[in-house]
Amino acid sequence: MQQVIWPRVRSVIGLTRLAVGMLAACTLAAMSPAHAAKWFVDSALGDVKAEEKVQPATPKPVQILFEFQRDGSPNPRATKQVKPWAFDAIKQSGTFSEVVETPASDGAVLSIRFNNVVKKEEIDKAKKDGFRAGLGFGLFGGVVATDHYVVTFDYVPATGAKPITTTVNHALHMKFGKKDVEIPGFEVKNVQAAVETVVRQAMARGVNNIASDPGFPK
Amino acid sequence: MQIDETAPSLETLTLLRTQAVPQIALGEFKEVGGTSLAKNINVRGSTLRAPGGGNFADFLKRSFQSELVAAGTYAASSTTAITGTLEESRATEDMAKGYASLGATMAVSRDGTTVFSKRYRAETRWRSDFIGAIAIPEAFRQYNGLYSQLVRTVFADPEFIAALKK
Repeated sequence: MQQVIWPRVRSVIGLTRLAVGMLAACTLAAMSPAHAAKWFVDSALGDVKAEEKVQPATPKPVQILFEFQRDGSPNPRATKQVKPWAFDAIKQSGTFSEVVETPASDGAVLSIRFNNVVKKEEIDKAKKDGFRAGLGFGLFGGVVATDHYVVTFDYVPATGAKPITTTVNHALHMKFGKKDVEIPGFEVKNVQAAVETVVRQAMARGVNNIASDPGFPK
Repeated sequence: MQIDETAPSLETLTLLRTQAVPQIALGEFKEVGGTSLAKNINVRGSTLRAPGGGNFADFLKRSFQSELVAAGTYAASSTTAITGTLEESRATEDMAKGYASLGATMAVSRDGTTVFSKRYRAETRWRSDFIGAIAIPEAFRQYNGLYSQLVRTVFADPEFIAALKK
């Protein structure tokens, strides 16, 4: 199953893609399920709890501008893959009466930049560990790679109005081979579930932060 | 591989709305001299193509349209139109560093007569990699991102905006 869905989301993730790529080159034919990559969603952010949830009395329509980035520059392919998940999560929040890509009736805009931040030292380590683990088919070493996400939300209630801004941090971890370390997250069944969960949690938190701002139309 | 549509940005939308840009149509977008300049971008034997068998001038037009539609300032019937001539389109890398650039002369026409034209460029540099599976998609991604950057550069130019509003 993982082989089927992997191509759909592989360009979304940066560091983990790189590590998997390195080890996959060496172990593709020989990798047993016991040593397959495992995916973990970082547990620091979590879901928005019922007591935290802010619900506007009269939700208004909003135009969404969504962009997935890598190190601050656009990643159009990943944007295309992730955008439907982001829209679904925003609709499910109930914060807005309508979620559209074209101009909303009152000009409200929510810009979301989903930035995959790449840390050079982590990339270099993932490459090194990934290559080593790949050569040993995952039996004599392993790799843990983390993708960091900084998601910036800018909500402009009407044209020319002061924006409400919030930033949400999230992370995705990938573990392969014999690596005896504790991952600060919960395991999910595959990479698609991992990315979807990261997107859903980040959207829910960001939209709730925006709705909690005193300047947000109630 | 086919190039991907770029996402409209808050910066460009804000530029268009706050400068009260009128409704605009899009005219012809062509490649310089009518030749097939950069129909494809090639990196280490892999090819990036424009969508639907078109060329990158068509894709530049689509990038303008995407931003104008998002800002609510696109009207196919407007007598004021933007036209473009793609003159530069490339992406290269040498396993250590990469470079991509896009250049076009953008014009404003009113009732079919050109009233303003100016050349605009966008470029980017990045750290490349010896692993092709990393370097090739990264080069394509960097080149792809130049389209929204070029559109923003055009709409950030007060001379271009003044020509649209005359």
